[in-house]
Amino acid sequence: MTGIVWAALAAGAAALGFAAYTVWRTRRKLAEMAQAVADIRAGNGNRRILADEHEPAAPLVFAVNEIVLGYEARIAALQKAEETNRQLMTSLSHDVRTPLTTLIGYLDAAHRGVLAGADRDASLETARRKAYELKDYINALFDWFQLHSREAALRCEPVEAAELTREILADWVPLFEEQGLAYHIDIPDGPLTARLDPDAYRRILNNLLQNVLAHANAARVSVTLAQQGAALALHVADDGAGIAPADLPHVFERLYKCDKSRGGGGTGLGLAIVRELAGQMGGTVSVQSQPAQGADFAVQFPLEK
Amino acid sequence: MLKLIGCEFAKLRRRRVLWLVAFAACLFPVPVSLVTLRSGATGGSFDSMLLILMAWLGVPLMLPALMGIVASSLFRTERACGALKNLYAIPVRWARLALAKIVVVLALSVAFTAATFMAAALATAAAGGALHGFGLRLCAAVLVGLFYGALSLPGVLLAIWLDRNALFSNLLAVLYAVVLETMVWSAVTALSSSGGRVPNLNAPALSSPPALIFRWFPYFIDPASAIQTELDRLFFVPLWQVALVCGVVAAASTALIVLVGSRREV
Amino acid sequence: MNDLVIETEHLTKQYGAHKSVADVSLHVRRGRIYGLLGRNGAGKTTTMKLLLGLARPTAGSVRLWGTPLAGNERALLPRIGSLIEAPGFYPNLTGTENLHIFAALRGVPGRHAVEDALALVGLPYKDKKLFAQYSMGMKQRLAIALAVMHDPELLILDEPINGLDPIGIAEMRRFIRQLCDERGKTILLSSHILSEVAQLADDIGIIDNGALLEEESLQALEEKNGRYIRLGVSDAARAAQMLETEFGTDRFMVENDRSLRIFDLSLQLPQLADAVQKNGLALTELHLCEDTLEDYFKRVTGGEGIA
Repeated sequence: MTGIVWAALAAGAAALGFAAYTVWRTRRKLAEMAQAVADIRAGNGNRRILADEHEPAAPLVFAVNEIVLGYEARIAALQKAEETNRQLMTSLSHDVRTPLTTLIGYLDAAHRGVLAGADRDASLETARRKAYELKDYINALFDWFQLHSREAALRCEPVEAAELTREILADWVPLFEEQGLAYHIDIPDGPLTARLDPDAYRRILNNLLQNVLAHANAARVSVTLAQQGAALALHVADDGAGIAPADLPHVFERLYKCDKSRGGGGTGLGLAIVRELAGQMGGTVSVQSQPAQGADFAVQFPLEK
Repeated sequence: MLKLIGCEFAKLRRRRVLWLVAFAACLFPVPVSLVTLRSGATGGSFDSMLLILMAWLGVPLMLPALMGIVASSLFRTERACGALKNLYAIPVRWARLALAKIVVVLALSVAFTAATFMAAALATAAAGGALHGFGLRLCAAVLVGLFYGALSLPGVLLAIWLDRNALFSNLLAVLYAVVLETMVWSAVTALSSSGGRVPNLNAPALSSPPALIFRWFPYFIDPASAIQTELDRLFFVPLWQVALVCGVVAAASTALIVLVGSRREV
Repeated sequence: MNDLVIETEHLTKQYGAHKSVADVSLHVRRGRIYGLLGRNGAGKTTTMKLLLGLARPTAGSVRLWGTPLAGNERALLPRIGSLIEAPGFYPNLTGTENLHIFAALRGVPGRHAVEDALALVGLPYKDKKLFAQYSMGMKQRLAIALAVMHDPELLILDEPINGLDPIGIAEMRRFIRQLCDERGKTILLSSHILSEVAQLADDIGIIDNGALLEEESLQALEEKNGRYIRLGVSDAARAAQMLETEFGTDRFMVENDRSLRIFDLSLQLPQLADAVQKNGLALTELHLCEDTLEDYFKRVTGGEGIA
């Protein structure tokens, strides 16, 4: 009898001891947490609190860590966005100021009557062109921002891409011939359907071809549309100046211009718009290029089943 | 602390040394019990057989040897594979690590003696012998495990202190077990009245820890037996005495193990 | 917030008569990679052990985040991830089981910490392969996984590219850089390979025979040793005087009786040549030089180069 009493007492004492131990450990963990949180509040966003998966304070500890990590990530993203916006502002002022200044220069000259006759007409023509360039730039910038802030919603529908591409290229062929650019078009006869916004797709192809015309100094351009596995692949390739390996990862970035002098026309936004539009339709863009061996831009979209 | 002990057990996965212990625990009691039951020497009593197994011939030799081997293996793993610096960097102090390992050794000792007991009981039942008072005897087996586990710690301390290779430590463990066994034999010899000898009731050999366990065991498992002679009175050793002696041995060994280990740099 | 994550003051470790670490005063700044460069046996590993409390210093102190390490290990060490010497894991357990043991003892910052750490270094989760069967590269990666599993603010890595093949080395380099740039961690790594340190580190400390010979940001080091004009003349002292009076610059160093290094690159070489000759000195050498970091290292450590 006494044996059982002793055993019961021992079990009771053990249980009590275990409970007291758990309480003490949780208390200690909470004190650690308080210290860590104070450190985080002081600005150290990299501080983490550690806990054993099975202890009572664990869900709280993990939640706090997640929250801090989330805030740190957001701060980092915001800082990055702030930085890119700052860059945009500076490049904006530069890109607008230069043509505007030239424009004003030409107009002032005409106003002062410095130029006469054919010179005056020529400079008025230049001024007019500069004004249009400026307008195009502001438009492109506005488009980009709209795209980026998702204001312009794309209306995707099942589209027969081969037919659409042929349609778009029909407008370009006269331009190629006018520029003396040899062209090669390879579009399959069979239907290739993908979920696309026709206007956005048109924009993408236009921007890619515009890029070739304006920057590549190519003698030949080729446009191919093909099915690669479960995806639709559009390739626009040229045999022009190509892109340097250092620039290759950055061509699709907004305002990135390979021509470092920042002259030479173009907004630097064309390819960024291509990437943005492709991304919004569920596609990807990539480029392969070697200097002096031309470039091959590829846009891929998932095929509609 | 509990976590550390749990981790120590987790580290034993796929270690062959454990299988050795389990094998020994289950196997060796069987022939011993059968032999003693068949022979007339102890009158076929389960209690006598248990006494021989637990406090005389079986456990005092096997347990310190096996536990010595297991313990030196446990204490060697971190240093051998270089995990000790990773543990220290958590930070886990050597004292707590050593204590956790010692707890594992004691737990394995208890498991060993309990398994030995079960094997002996099964063998007896199979051989048709009588089993009674199961609970108390199981309790005794557990206690013997604890006591002999504690008594093997000085051997472990020696192995850690000398810090040689595995073979050396294992041989040391066996040697230490033999020493303990010798202590039991000296006590038994002093008490025996066979071959015309007169029992020496005041022999110093009767005060060694293994001897104390030997003397404590019979009355513990059969408190109802009467004390008639001077000899019988020797077997009336209270539990707390044995626990105290073994506790002191364990505490001293643990303290020294902690001291020796913490001095060593990683 | 204190900008110095690690600060040691006259840190010394003596084994018998031999000073493994002698009077080292390190300064590792937050959010930067510090490369501890030194030959084998220079004392890099011992210094790192002192920083982690794995060895007790004979003299000097270690401060982490402004708090002394001695006595505060429980609060400070969980904020540090480390890889010292060879990867130390239990050979009879799988990689996942090994990590689970350390995760249980140290605590984790999130629910799937072990899984995420293994994914980060490219090792399979809950794989059946025992650690004893791992290749060298896998062992090193598991060690890295252990070091980053608890998302520490500071990483102390002892020769992290040791035993890796070239692809592994490139991956490790990228990984370490990512940890610093994207996750804002502070990293102290050691190496005896100069090129590796030069590629990764923001700050460099050169350690030789236990002493910290130089501690400088990589940028400053490169500037110091970058380009200079080497001027070989018949009389360096006269040339030095000429540089000071006629060209008004003191940014030069006299190497020996016959040559100087001029760090002021605004000086025009033809003008220099003229001035030298006008002052009646013979011109033996005049050209623009680039000293490599290795030459610098050789100079600082006394000439034997990397071993």
